[in-house]
Amino acid sequence: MNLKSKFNNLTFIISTKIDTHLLTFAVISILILIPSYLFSRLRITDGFLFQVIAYVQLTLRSDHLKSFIAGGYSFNFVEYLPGYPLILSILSRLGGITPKELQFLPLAALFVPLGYYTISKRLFHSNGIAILFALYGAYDIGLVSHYNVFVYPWSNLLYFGYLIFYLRWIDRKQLEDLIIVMILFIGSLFLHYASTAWIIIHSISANLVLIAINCYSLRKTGANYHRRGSLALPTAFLVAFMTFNQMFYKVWLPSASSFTQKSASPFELLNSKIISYLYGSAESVEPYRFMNTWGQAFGIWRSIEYSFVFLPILVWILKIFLFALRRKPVFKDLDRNLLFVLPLFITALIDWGAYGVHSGFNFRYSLLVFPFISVMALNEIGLSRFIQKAFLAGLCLVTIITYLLGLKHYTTNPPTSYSETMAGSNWLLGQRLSGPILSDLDTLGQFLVAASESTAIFPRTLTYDAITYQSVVENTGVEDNRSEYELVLIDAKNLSKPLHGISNKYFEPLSLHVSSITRNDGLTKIYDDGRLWIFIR
Amino acid sequence: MDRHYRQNNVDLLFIGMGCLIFTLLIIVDIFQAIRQVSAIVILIFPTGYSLLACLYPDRSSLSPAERYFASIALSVSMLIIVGLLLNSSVGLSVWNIWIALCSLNLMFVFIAYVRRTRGGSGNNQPDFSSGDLGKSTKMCMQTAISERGRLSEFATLSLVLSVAKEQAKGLELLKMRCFALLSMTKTSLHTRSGNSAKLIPGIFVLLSAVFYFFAFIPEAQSVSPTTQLFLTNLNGKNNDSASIVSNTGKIRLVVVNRENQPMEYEMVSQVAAGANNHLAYLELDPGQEWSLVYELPSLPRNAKQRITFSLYLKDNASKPYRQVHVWVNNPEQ
Repeated sequence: MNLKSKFNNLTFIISTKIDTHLLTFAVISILILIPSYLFSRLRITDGFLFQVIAYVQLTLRSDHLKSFIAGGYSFNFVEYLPGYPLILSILSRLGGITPKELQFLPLAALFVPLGYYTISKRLFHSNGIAILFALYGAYDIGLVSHYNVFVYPWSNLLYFGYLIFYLRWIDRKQLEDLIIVMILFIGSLFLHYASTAWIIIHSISANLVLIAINCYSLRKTGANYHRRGSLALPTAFLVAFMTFNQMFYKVWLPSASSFTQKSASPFELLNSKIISYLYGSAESVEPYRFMNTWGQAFGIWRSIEYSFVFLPILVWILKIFLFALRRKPVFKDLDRNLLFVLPLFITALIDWGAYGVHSGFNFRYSLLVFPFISVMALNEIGLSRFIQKAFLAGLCLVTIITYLLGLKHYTTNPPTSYSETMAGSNWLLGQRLSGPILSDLDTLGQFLVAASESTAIFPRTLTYDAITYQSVVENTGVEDNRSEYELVLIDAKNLSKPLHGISNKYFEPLSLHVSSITRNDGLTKIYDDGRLWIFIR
Repeated sequence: MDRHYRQNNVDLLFIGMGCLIFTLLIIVDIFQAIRQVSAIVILIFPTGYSLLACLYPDRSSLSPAERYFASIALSVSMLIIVGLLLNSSVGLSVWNIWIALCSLNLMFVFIAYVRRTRGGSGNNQPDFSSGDLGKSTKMCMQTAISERGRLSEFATLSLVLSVAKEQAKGLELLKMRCFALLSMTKTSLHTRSGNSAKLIPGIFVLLSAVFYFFAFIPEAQSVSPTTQLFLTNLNGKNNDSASIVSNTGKIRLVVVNRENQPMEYEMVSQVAAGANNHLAYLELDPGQEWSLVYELPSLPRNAKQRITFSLYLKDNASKPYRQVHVWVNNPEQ
């Protein structure tokens, strides 16, 4: 074949057969990037990110990052997650991006969908399913802070990396995979406690399952199972976690030990949340507590999304019980189910429990990994690949609708920008007030970031809990350690938004209580610039 | 005929050179956007890629999606480890980070190169480093004709042909180059899903880079226009919250125009739910400040009343533009 005929062949291909696959993937890639693009343009971020940004901004002048107290404010999170401000600091230094702008960088738009694509490709060997998973990852509104440089996408990235190499390890046990797993674990250990705990629990449960199967196999058949479990590596992980991360001792244990004193059990909170999702509102389990922050329509669609994820798993569990009773073979792919799905399930259970005793059940982990189990469940139930794809397409559709409803919430309540809070923050710092400042997480964060540009001395801050919120709207006169504040900061532009308080609790919007705050004779309103109100006690 | 096949190392070449070029772009800092993208690329990709190349010299042992994703995850992990080591020793200056990451990258690239060339992974890749241009070219053409080629092979071929410019004959060289380029294009447009699938992560990364330019728009740094109304004690500072209402029974009322244009206001006071008392008409230029020492009214014993100060815009007297209030608990006591 000469060059001319090759060229003709090529032009024929271009004119008639432009690769539909490539075009499809290009379109899907754009679809995947749209939600992050919109979030970034609307400048949406997570309230917890502000203090990290303020810290990074403060430490840019120094070559070393360390935990310190600036005025009354303690940047103690550096002890628990040293790797996270480190990444942001390095990004900021090398890229010349101010930390204030860095938080809206849509970097993780890449991580989560690519992670979903890669894991599902390995699990299901189907491009279609992998792409649908990537779409799900991009549009899940629960991952609202997963588009930018918040800590969750970084830790999920490492956890997904762990899962990929763990899956490889299931397929063929190799030293290289183990080295990668160890490097990912070390990174995770210094980055975020959640992903580290997930890795530890997953690896421990997988190996315990193997050891149990081996014992069962020895008793039943007298021969070893073809895989052997060992707790050496998981124990090393656990020891490293307990040694290097103080979060467990300093935060979780004290919180868990006061579990019985909490106003509502995790089940009551869950019940209240479900009712508020379905009916728009629910009887509050705590005074002024707000369960559904994004409206009834969003709540209903979010519930449908949860049902989509959980229903196939419940049906599968039912099938397992029925088959076990009839003594039929339960699993199609025993290794995958016992070594991958079961550990994921155990990790989810422990994750629920850990968050349950701390601040109520949290479904972040479940929504992250359960879609994999759902599709595997459909496969195990015996449904065809087409139905599996249809299920995932349905899940994507529900997720996109939920995303759009959530986006509507943000477009009607756009976040206050730094330039808007700057005047109030500068005034407040100029007053040299030393008393603790009470506000919601977002407003306090805005203040901290704005302040970090001009000073290194912050007053102590408090976020709302039931007692402090009540003392603001009612003047209860209650004085305890938690309500010792001198100033109250209110974001006047976002009065209709629920307030993000302590331990991820949300409280009623202040627009419902403006008149009672004005009547509160314990609070003097000393500042108003249209964006920020400042009250003094 | 020498059938000694080895992996081509063009990816390692790209990673090594790319690392140096991108860090140069960061240090030279000609355009802010280029510096930002270079920093992101340097931090989240090459270290992991070269480490994977070290551990898995045979490129077929990981799928492209796995390799891309694991490269990002490992880069982040390595960045944390290296960053913590730097933080506890020499510090996190740009130069320290640059030297540490580049050294690490080049070390991994070197080890990967050695492992690939010595390991002899035995797959069907021609050896472009052998210097035998004729054999390499022939094999590459065979690969292209059989439609099993990949972009990297043709890119390498093009590179080899450029280097061998002196040795090859003019017309033949042109033909070969054209052939290589056409084959590259054809391969990239190949209709088989297997080949397309290999390009998906690449497309995704490329689109992400384009998307980054459109999505990430820094906010203006300036303070938004506003009017500030506040209360202070007579010293002008509220550094002691208990002393806003001073012993003299006076407070200072301040208005600052930060609207970037001249503004006209009316200031009124209101005791409890009583009638509005006009205090002043204000005409303030941008940045201008107005203040008034206000004597709090006498109240009956044990009475506690709210005194509200409202600032109205001259052309909108229906709704207060700004409002503050103070509680007075019989200052004569």
